[in-house]
Amino acid sequence: MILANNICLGYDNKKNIIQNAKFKINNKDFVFITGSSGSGKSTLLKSFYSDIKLKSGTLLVNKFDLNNIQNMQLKKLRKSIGIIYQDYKLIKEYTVEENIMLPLKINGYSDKLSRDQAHKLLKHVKLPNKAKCYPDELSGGEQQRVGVARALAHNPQLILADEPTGNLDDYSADVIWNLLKKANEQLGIAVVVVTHRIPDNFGLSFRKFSISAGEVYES
Amino acid sequence: MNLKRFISFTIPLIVMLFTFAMYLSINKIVSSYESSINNDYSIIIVSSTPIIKSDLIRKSDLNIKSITHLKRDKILQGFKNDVSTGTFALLEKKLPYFYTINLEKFPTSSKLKEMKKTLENIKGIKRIETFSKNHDNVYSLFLLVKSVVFVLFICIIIFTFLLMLNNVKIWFFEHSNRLSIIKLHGGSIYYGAKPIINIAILSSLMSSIFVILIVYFLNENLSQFLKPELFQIVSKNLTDFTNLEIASVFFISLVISFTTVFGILLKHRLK
Repeated sequence: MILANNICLGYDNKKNIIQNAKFKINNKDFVFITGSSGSGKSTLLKSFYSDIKLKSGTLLVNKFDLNNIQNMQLKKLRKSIGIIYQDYKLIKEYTVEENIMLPLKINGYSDKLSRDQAHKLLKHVKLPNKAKCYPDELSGGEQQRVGVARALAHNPQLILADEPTGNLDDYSADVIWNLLKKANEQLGIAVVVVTHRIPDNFGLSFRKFSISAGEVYES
Repeated sequence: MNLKRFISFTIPLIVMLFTFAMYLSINKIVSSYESSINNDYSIIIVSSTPIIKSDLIRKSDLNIKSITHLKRDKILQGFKNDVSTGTFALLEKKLPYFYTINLEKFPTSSKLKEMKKTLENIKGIKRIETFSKNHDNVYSLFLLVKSVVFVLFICIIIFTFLLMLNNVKIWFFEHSNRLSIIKLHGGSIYYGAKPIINIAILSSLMSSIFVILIVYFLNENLSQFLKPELFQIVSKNLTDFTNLEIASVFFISLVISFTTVFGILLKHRLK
C-alpha cells in the first residue's frame, strides 16, 4: 500500500523535516502518525498524495512511484485515495450532497449513481437531512462528517486523515473515530491518521508511527 | 450560473462584435461606392495610332474593363465651316485618336501613377489624362474611413480581450479554493473550470445572436437613422449579413472567449 525507502522531505533548500524514513503500511492497516507540533506529521502525510515532493528516496503509494510522478499518474493516485483534512476543505459553493459527489464525478460516475451513493453515505454519517445544506450551515463536527463521507464516497483503498478531530469537541471526535474504525474494520480500507493524541480505549488494533527530530519510528 | 459574471463577459463581447459588424458593413458600403464611382471614372488617352484593347492589355498588364474610341468625326465637324478645305484635310490627317479607358477596379493613387507610367511607354501614345487630383481626393477619403474603422476595431478587440482576461483571472482567483480542492481529489483543471467554460460558450452565443439581431433591426429601420443622402449610399442589401459573415461573427466571439479562458487555464495547468 505505502512503501517508503529512505525518504527525505523538506521545503526548498532548508533542513530536511523528515530524514531517511523507512516504513511499510499494508492493506487494512490502521496507522496513527504522532509527534509534537512542527515535527513533520502533516508533511509526511502530504507526501503520500504528492502534495509535497520527495527530496530523495523512493515512495510507492498504491503502486504509484511518487519519484517524478507525471500529472496523469498523480491524478490517478489521488482518485484512488480518500483524504480528510483538519479544516474539512469542503467547497462552500456546493451543497453537502454535491461535496460528497465530487470524487465520484471526478472518477466519471453518472449523476444518478453519485447522488445515490452520496445519500447512502449521508445516512451512514448520520446526516440524512442535510443533503441540500451548504457547508456554512453545518457545525464543525457535521462538516467533518461530510468530509469523511466524501473520503469514503468512491470506495478508496486508502484513507489519509490529517488531524481529523483537531477542531472538534469530544462527542464529534468520537463520531469521526467510529466512522474511521468502521471503514477500516468493515470495508477493509487502510487508514493513516495524523494526530496529536490517540483516543483512549480506541478498541481496534493499530500501528503507531512517531516522529521526533526528523526520524520516523514505529512504536 | 453567476449572472454578474455572465454579464461581465457578454457586454465587452457585444461591443466588440458590434464594432466588427460595423467594420464589415462599412467595408461593404465603401466597396460598393467604389465600384459605383468607378463606373463614372475613366482615363483619357491620346494616341497617334489606333489602339486595340487586347494589344493594350498585353502591353500594359492593366485591368481594363473597356476602351471606347471617341469618334473623330464629331470633333472635326466643329471645325468644318471654320477652316478651308485644305486645312480641314490636313487636320483630318493629323488629328490623333482619342480613347476613354474604364477600369475593372477603382485604382489606388500609386497604382494610378504606375499605370500612367506604363501607358506613357507604349509606342504611339502621346498624352494621358488620369484626372488624378479628383481621384486622389476621393480615394484618400475612402482610405481614411476604412483605416479609422479598422483601427477602431483593432483597439476594441484589444480592449475586449484585456477586459475578458481580467474577468477570467478574477474568476480563477475567486474559485482558487474550489479548484485546489478538486485538484487534491485528482480532478483536472478543466473539470474545475467547467463553469467558466460554460459562461464563455453561452456568452459568445448570446452576444453573437444579440449583435446579429441589432444589425437586422438597424437594417430594417435604416431610413430612421440616416439622412436621405446617406441612405441612398447605404442601400439595404449592403447591410444584410451573408451566412459567411454571420459565421465569422460567431467565430470571432468564440475565439476571443476561448483564447482568454484557455490561456488562463493553461497558465494554471503549468503552475
